[in-house]
Amino acid sequence: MAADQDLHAGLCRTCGEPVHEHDRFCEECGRPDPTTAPPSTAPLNGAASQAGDQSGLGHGTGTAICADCGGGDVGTDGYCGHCGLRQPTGREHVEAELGGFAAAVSDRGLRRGRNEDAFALAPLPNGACAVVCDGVATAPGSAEASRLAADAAAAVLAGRVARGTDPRDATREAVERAAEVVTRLAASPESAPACTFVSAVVDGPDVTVGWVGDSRAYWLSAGGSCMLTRDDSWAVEMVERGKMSAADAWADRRAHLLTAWLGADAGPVEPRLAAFRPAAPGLVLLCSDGLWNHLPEAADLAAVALHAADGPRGAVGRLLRAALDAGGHDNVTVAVIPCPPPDTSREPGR
Amino acid sequence: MSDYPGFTIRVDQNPYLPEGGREVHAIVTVEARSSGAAGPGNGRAPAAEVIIIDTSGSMSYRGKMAAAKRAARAAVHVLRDGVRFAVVAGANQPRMIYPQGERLAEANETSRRSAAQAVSRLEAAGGTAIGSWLRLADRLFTGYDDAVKHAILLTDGKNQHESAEELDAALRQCAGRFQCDARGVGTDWEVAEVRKITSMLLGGFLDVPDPADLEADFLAMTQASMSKEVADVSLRVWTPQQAELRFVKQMVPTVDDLTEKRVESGTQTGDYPLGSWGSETREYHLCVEVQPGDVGRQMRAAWVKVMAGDEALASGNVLAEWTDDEARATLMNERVTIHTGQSELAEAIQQGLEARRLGDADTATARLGRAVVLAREVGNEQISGLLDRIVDVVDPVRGTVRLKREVSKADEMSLDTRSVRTVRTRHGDVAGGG
Repeated sequence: MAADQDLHAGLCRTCGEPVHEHDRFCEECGRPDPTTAPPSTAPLNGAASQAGDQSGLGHGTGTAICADCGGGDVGTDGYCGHCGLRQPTGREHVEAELGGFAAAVSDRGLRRGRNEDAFALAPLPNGACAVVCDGVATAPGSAEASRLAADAAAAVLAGRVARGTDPRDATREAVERAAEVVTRLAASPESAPACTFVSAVVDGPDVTVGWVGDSRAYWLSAGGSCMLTRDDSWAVEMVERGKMSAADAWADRRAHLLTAWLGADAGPVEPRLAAFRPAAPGLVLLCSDGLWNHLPEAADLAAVALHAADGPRGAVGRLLRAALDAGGHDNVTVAVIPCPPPDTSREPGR
Repeated sequence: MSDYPGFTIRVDQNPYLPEGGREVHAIVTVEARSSGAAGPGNGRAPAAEVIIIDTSGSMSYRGKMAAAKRAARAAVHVLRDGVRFAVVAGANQPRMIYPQGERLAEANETSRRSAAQAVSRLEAAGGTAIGSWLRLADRLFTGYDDAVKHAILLTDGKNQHESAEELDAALRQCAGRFQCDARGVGTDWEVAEVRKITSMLLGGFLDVPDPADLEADFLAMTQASMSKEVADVSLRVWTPQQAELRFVKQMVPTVDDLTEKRVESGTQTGDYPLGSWGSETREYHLCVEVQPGDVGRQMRAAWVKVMAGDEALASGNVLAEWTDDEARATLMNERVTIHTGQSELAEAIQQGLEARRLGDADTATARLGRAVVLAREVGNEQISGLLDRIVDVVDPVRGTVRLKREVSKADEMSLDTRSVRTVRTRHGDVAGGG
């Protein structure tokens, strides 16, 4: 906080945050050309479609009703002119669903002032793909980074896979594109927005995941569950190199330090990939650490997700609830894609 | 566009509060930079200057009168062409020295020379009635509403020839009408009295123990006044309903509590006068008490704007955010810490010296000992040096001191006067995460 607070050029038309004259994107919500063009709606992104449903907040009216004190004077920057409390921005809780093909939810959690996680879903001819990104809290502008990265990557994945590109190559391209988008946000190397990345492609019977950072993918199935990713984090690196025991590494205060991420200060990024064909039906789960910090074990996650046979939407709802019940210390983002897809002969909905 | 210098506001704070936390502190740095395009004399507000020289009888001792004359002549000589000015002699009554009659003259080569000659004929006689001198200055400034109005007051004695009430009434009349910087020469004037005068009139004051230093000092003061580009700037502060603005203090260049100077300017806003500005930077410490929000919520605890008339020249936000992360909530912003220390330092010195004057050695020892600790902590070396002349420091860390037996009046007054002069804090101490 307390950085530059000079007079700003205007307010973002999507979220109402002040933006500087030379900003190409809104720092708060990631909207391009924040003070001019009308909001573009990315239909696959829960956050964007939700933003359109907002009750007039931050759309320049300055007359929205404050949910806290009832005053009719909420400014375009989201702060109430009477009680001073900031009103929700639209990213506190975001849900999206692609019929029975995929579902996702992102929630601020119980302890954070804002949600810096983001997800994007996209339908595929024989399934669906999903991306989850977690903004790195210490870098300003990371909420924007996570959202732009997720959107860009999902668009690349959907486009490439639909045209027959191998999902692994499509994933590499998606990460490259997402890294580019986040890198471009940096005002300077000292102030570089950053985020993690995890994606999943379910293409018929095949699952492909890719990741950078400590957002995870799991396979959850009655026939056996496991983690598909290995965190790019200090703790995991120490254990992998045989330098420390898992217990000691995770107890260290550096445990969660990232060893790879997307951002201008990250350098070129090579994602790690995993692909497999499951033997039994199940769910691919993508999540930010807001979920797995509370529920790290695949079996525990499977117990929650598979508790009822109510499709991906029911599963993400239960997983979010489990994270919040466990304390909700961080932003929580969960995306689920069933594999095999429910009915591959049918045109996937959204 | 206006001719105002470019203002910027910077807010330094730790916005994170613990659950239930109410007190929000912030350091607001206001910087003004003149546009480079303006040449000398261009883009500046018109200026009016009144130089008031104490000519009471005591001024004739120890070369004070001669030094005062030299200083006043030096000040007159640096008035730029077109400035309206006057020189006033103060005794039981004020007397116009230049020009003749109660009016301001326009500065040019001729008027500056005539004024200097008139100053040379000054003689010391009579008493001290500062309120009446200021009232004359106020009459002289009448009609120059757009100008940067500034008075320089030189005195060497207590305000003995009018009552304290008369002085207070004069200050109330003059407050907001013109600014006044003061200098005390010799050791017979009263620090608290001059501090009050300049605080009310938004000016600074200093002791000048050696009359020989007056000339350079007057020159600097007049040049600073000539460099002002905008008069009557104010700090407008919005606070949430049910919030209380606990204090607004100027912290740099000197400690000056502005809290009582608030003028309501809207349902939830008040204005605090900042006087005239040239290219300069000042720092203010704000403390707001707000209604606590739930963990995770964010609040605008104050919205500060630099105002010139109805025009907002810069703005900044003081924010609050409640967290259950104890490490974040308890982290003190370094600039807030230093300025809190500097406020307490000024208070400890003034209380310690007052107790010493009243013969209360225990209180004096305790307060001045505390001052020794604080001066070290905030890195105010000038004050540390001045304290060394008043007390023997036994333990500078714990603040154990002994009052010196022999202390010169000049040293005591110097410490008292300079107790409010602060050191600038560094930028870039960012508290908390993003």
